[in-house]
Amino acid sequence: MDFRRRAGAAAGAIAGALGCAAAALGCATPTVDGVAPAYDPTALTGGIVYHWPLGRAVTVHVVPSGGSEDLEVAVRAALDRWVPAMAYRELSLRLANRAEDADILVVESATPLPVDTSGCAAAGWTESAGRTLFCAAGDTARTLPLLAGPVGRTKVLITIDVAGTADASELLAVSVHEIGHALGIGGHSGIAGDVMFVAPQTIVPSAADARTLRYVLHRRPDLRL
Amino acid sequence: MTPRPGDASRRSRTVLLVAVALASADYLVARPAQAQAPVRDALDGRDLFWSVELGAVGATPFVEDGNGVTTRPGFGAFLGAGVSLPVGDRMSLTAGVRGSTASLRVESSGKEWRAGRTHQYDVRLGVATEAARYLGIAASAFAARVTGPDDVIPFRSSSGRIAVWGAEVAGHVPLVRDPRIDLLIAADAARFGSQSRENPPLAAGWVGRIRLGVRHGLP
Repeated sequence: MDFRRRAGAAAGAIAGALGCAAAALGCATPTVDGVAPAYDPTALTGGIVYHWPLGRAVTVHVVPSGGSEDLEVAVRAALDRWVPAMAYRELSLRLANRAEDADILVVESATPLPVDTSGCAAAGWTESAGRTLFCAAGDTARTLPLLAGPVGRTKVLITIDVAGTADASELLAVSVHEIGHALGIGGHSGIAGDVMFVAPQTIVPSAADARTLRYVLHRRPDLRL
Repeated sequence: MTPRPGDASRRSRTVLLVAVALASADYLVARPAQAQAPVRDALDGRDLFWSVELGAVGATPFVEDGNGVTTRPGFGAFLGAGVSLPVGDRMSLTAGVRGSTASLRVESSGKEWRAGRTHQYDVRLGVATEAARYLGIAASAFAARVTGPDDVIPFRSSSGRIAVWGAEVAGHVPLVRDPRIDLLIAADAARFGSQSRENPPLAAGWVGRIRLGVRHGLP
């Protein structure tokens, strides 16, 4: 009788264990709804999704020009503003001290280009004060070789017309906008409150910008930077 | 009363027996009933028994994002300690604390990367019983704090800390008799609440864990 009672208890406990495990494995995992982009992130690329391999560090170097640090300050702030838009550490963004260590080069538009962009005729987008460019080579972007020193590893070139911006705030808005392109948003928003608005006016990516970036980062890229 | 010549020797043997029993934390059920009796007598009057456990832990995802992202802990390690209070024939109330750690992994678009570490600290209360001669079973409810990187969902909108609650069951069977070491297998399910401040909001759900390890102690 005692054995039967114990066996019953054991069976109950084991059933409980299995039920618990089944509940854990079979019931709903915490979920976040999938969202559509707030605007088309491939409108400028003809439907091509591009971004950096997820999980990696993307390094940015600002080419010095004219002794002014305004552009570097703006780009540093722009990188900081995009970090919260990524919810899963998809990319880590940091400044590089040397051009040869940079995935993205940022130059003042009046400065001679530090990389060879020949053969990149149709790539990139020109806006009022900024331009982001990369060169497709099949399903990857080709390295833009540095004109001086080592070849480097630059895939994306951003040029910004610092003199053409009215003030530091506009320079920051343009920098945030171009970094958005460099991360994978190949489109523009029609809402002035988004940093990816065609003529950027704000300095912080909006919820719509973040949603669009998250959407595009989690698509399989047609073109890998 | 004058002590008889054999008393000191018997007391020494009894003390030694108790000391050995406590030091090895031998699990009485693992021995034949007749052999257990003297040790059980010697332990009468002792109410609380301790145990420690350690091993490996694996878990189901923390988050599944409709955009194709899965956040899950990798395989990790746990360490815990507990006490038990016998309340009847082969039945005990148990309480304990436990900590575990694992890397946090994110998977999307065929890529997987590390996104920091996650830790879980549990406080549990439950019951344990000897379900069979070589099988101990425990069931507990627990409250836990789960920590992780504050820039990764589900920790992003909660400053890196989430309070959860759940239930667990565990079974253990002896591996080594002296000192007593048991094989431990346990499963638990923790309820992760909704997070309306996340954009888009995180819907509540369950996260399950399986723990496999060793345990040293009384029931």
